[in-house]
Amino acid sequence: MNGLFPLTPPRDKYRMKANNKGFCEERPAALTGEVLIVNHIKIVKKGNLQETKERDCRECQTSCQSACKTSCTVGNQLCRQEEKP
Amino acid sequence: MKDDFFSEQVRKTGDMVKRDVHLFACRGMKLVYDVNSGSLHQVDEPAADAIELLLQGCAFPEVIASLAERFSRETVQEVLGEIQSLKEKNLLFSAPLTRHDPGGSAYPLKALCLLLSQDCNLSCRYCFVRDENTRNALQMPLEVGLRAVDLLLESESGRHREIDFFGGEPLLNFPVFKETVAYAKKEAGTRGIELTFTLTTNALLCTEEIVEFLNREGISVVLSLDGRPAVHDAMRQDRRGRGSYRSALQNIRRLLEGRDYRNYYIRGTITKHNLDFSRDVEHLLDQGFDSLSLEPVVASPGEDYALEAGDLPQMEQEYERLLDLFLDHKAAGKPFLFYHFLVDLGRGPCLYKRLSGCGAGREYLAVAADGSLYPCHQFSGRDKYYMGSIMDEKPLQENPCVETLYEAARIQRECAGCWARYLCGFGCAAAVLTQTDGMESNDFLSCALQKMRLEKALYLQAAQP
Repeated sequence: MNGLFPLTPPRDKYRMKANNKGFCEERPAALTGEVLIVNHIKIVKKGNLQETKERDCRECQTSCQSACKTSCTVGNQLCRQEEKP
Repeated sequence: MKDDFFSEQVRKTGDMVKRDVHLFACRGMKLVYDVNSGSLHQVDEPAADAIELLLQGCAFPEVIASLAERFSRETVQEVLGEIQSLKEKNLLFSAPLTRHDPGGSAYPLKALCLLLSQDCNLSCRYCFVRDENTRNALQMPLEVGLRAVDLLLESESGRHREIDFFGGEPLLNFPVFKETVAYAKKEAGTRGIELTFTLTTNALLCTEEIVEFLNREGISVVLSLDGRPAVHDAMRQDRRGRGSYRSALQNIRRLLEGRDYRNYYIRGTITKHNLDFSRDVEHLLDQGFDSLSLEPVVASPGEDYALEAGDLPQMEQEYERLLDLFLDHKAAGKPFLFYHFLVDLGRGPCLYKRLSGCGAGREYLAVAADGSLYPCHQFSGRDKYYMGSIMDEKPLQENPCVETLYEAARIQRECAGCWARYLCGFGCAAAVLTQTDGMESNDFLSCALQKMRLEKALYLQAAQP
């Protein structure tokens, strides 16, 4: 694995149930410590940006070094924080 | 219900919120992207309407009153309760991020692009090194390659470093490529640094020896192939004007078969002449490739192949068609990667990374064949952005022009108010420079395309089981 292929399948698995009111989402307590039930707003993906604002490991791939070489994109870069020894 | 959702000040200046919450629809699905947390939500109609009103600066009672004719009070109150709950969890209308770009010196060098050969065996019509000043027969001497490796490894960056071999056509200088890789691996090994290599090539010079070397050394490859034969051959011709599709395809297949189709991207270009580019993606998939990147061409506005604002509706249709292809292939058990549809909201990079932009001139430098240093490969040969020579005792010179790539008005003003600011890395500075003849404002077309692709990518997050 090198930085060229930034993504692996998502870790979170959501169990979805429909009800007659709209969306109903149950996130297993083992994953989140809570069960959030919503009827009108379904959390598709919980972003991590707020948790990363003090992070600064600088181990990630340089954006311009990506496959495109023209359209810079940072949203698809892989964070390597967890790889740091 | 307590109405302290927004302060009075925020309500009066709705723009402060609009830049932080992006409500959009894609294929009938209503989605909300929360910029400061990176969270994505799917909403029903009452929720979408309530969020729209909140973005306009309405207070809760005003939202309830405005929606009274269409939804019951109970429904609207339930919606507002959910919004409030998500806000408290920092998942919607989340707290603004206040960290700012720490400036150039805070970004140690961690990637180099080596222009091994500024010559090329092709004469592609859209190549950004067509300019006589930058394109010449110059081949990088081994000493330049080795010094570049030293500069990278001596940087005070983290464990990971990257070298991309680029050109012209880098394989025209295969002996130096081979020696440089060997030296870099040895030196990185002794310093405990993880080094990754990428080669960007048209594949036409991929002999058995070269294929064996690339696959043995684990070098990732970005392979230029535009798609359908006629599309490829119209732009990617040799100096006699002959198309290169057939040879390129043959060599690419041979190269990838030797690596079990891993660690590669097929990289094509979208121009005015292949606005139906989803057909090119289909063609590449039919050839067995499953890791694809199609990029809009970087071209001056006068070129016949340059994209224009008027092309955006057709391009949007094509990206929609790509969504179908993407989902159909996944459902059929034949998924493929499309570079611009990749967004990792849950495990994406940190705020620091998102503010560091493309990295050109800071974390990332291009080394021209003669050893001259530039912010990136696209700036090679542009004197204004010269940053020194690898052959000098102190290679890196300060060049105030480089920092203007980040301090330009476009980032300070336009990007600061854009919902895509933590996903796009502020775009490609070189592309902006080429397409707007200056850095004072963003390139409308690049931004429009970027936001269009990001909305599709976010939709895919919601549409995939």
